Amino acid sequence: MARWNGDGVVKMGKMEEVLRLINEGRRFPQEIAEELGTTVEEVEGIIELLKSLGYIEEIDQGPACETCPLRKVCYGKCLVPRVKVLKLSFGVDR
Amino acid sequence: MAMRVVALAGNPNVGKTTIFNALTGMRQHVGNWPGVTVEKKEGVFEHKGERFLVVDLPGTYSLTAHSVDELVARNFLLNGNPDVVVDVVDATAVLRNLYLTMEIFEMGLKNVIIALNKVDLAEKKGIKIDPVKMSKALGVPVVPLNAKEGAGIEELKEKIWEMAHGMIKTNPVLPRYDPEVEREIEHISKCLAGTELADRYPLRWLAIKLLQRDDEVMKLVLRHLGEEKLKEIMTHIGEAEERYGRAMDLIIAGQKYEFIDGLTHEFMGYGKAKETLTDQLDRILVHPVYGFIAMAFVFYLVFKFVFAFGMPLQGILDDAFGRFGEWVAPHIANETLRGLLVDGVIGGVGSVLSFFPLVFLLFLALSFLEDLGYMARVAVLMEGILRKFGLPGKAIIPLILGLGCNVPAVMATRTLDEEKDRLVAMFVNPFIPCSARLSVISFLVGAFFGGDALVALAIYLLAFAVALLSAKLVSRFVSGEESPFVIELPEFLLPSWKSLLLHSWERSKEFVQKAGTVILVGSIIIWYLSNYPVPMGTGKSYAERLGHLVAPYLNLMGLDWKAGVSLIFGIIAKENVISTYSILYGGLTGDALKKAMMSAMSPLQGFVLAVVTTLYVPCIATIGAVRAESNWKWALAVTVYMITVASLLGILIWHVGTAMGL
Repeated sequence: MARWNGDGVVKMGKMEEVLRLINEGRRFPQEIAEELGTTVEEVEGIIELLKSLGYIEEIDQGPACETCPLRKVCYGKCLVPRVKVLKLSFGVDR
Repeated sequence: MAMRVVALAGNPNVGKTTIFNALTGMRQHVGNWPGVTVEKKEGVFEHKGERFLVVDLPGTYSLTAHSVDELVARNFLLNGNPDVVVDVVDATAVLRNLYLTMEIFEMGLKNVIIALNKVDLAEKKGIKIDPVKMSKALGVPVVPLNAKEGAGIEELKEKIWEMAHGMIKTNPVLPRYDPEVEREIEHISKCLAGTELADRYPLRWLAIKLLQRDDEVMKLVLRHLGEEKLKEIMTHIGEAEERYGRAMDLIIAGQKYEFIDGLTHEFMGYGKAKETLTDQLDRILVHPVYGFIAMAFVFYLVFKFVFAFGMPLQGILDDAFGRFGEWVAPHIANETLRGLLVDGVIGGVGSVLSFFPLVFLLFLALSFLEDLGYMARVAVLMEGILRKFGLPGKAIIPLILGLGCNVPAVMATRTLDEEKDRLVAMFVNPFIPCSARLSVISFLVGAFFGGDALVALAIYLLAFAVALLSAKLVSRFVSGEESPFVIELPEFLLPSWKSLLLHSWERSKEFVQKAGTVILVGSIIIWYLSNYPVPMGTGKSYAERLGHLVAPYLNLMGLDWKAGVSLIFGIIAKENVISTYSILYGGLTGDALKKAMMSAMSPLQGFVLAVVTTLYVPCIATIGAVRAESNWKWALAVTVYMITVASLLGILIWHVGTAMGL
């Protein structure tokens, strides 16, 4: 478990690697999992932890119906793809 | 005798509630945690004649102070003095779940039982966990469970009873960090040693939380030890972060995760997991080449389905409105009123309402794709394309929303971080054909192309292409860096017909509502304009005058004055294009209207009209939404730009088509 590389820099673990890859523009857990040689489930688990730590936040995708100007005439529900879009709350080198 | 307290902790969606219900049955009480609106569930169970109070803590991934849920769970574990803590761990996601376990251990809690739930699912996924070895590695008892089936609940009750009676000795494993981090923990611990905080909380936990800049622990230090002490500690942490080049909380969290990863190798292995259907499908559906072929095919099927089933139904409805008009006419003696009701209201509104089956079926198909999880794949596929055209990838969500209605779609551009991205996304969104434009496209494709799904698909693809090219153009003037983000895809899930029908009905109800309001008013106005001051045919009616005013411009794209009037009223609501044509042709609907239009226009002119209607200008509500989300200048720019693009395309298609002899 030697993550200290001797140059005064603590090596990154998987959690930090995930954050770094998102920061570098990887868009999907599949891409990240492939690069880290792990499973999509593990990457998604790490993302949940990073969310919990405040490094990533989920984007609310749809407009709130209450603020929609058509709320009085619209009984419908907007079409929203069931994706979870997450963004970094701040950089890795916070 | 007071009841012993059992705290039930765990990540969200690990089956905690199922275990809580299985333990307590009906003996539950639901309230709120003091001072916050987080639900507090308590229940009682009896074992060997003794009653236990189970407190269901909010589901959390960690015990930081970033959310109210985490704070509630943490405070109860720290100050609630539970006799036993049951930590529910999802056997299909052990690594992520044990992070919370480690945080509980670091708080100094020893009476912890791991309820290893979903062992059946883990086995199916090829995950092999040895509960005995797991227990040894973690230093606390592990009870395997399949809470859904009730398996393991009695064993869990027995373990809780044994632990509450001091019959189980535990030795929870504590995460170890790199020597340098351990040194920092030790340093902070020394700073706090001997203080009143050290008597109340585990020193190591306090030190770790301070290194992670935990707000609540910092407040504790400030309150009990004063500003000077806090400043001294935080200065030291700042220096450490300076040395490491990044935040201590990330280093600690990362190393804790690595520690857990190492630990799981002692009791967990992965067999050959079966590739799920979602994995197999995704290999094609999000593939950069096959994905687009599949997408084109899927949307072709959508239009094929809409036209194949919708057109006959539309014909039936249309026929019904025609007969209704014929039935009403003899009952009204007053000629003006008869004209207004039969030609204006029944003809105008009926011609639009008859498209309800098509709109409903489109929403049914889109709802099916959405609930299935396919629209998420479309978002993923299109995300890369959007970026190539200067739009942020996240803009795909508003664009897909636009297929339903452009107003909420424009509002959804708020999800984009950069103001510049928002402006570009807002600029191109009105090009996406909404459901109102579908009725016009269906009408014209039905009239001039026999409801050929390929023609409808071509118009939609053209609209998307125009949106992308416009984004490329506009983004040159309003550039901005996109902030990083990640998209998670859901599993494919076969939707239930009940929810599909309900969603589709809710969505298409707006169409009916609109027909009874905006279209009705529009139809009455158009009827008035076409009958006053003199009836049409003389060239002197208001409608004809209005139409002839724009006719020279529309002639450039092969369209006449009737198209001019229709397009003008289409600005209020796109469906008005159909109702206007109906009124201008003397209240004709359905096949009669189609025949009349076909005798006056060629298929090429019909195609030009369909393209121009799709692209020429957003409806008033969309213009209003753009103005509300940006400013008048931008709303005006969008409108002018759309009219220009639609005109240029109309002229181009008309002249190229004519030159080709179409």
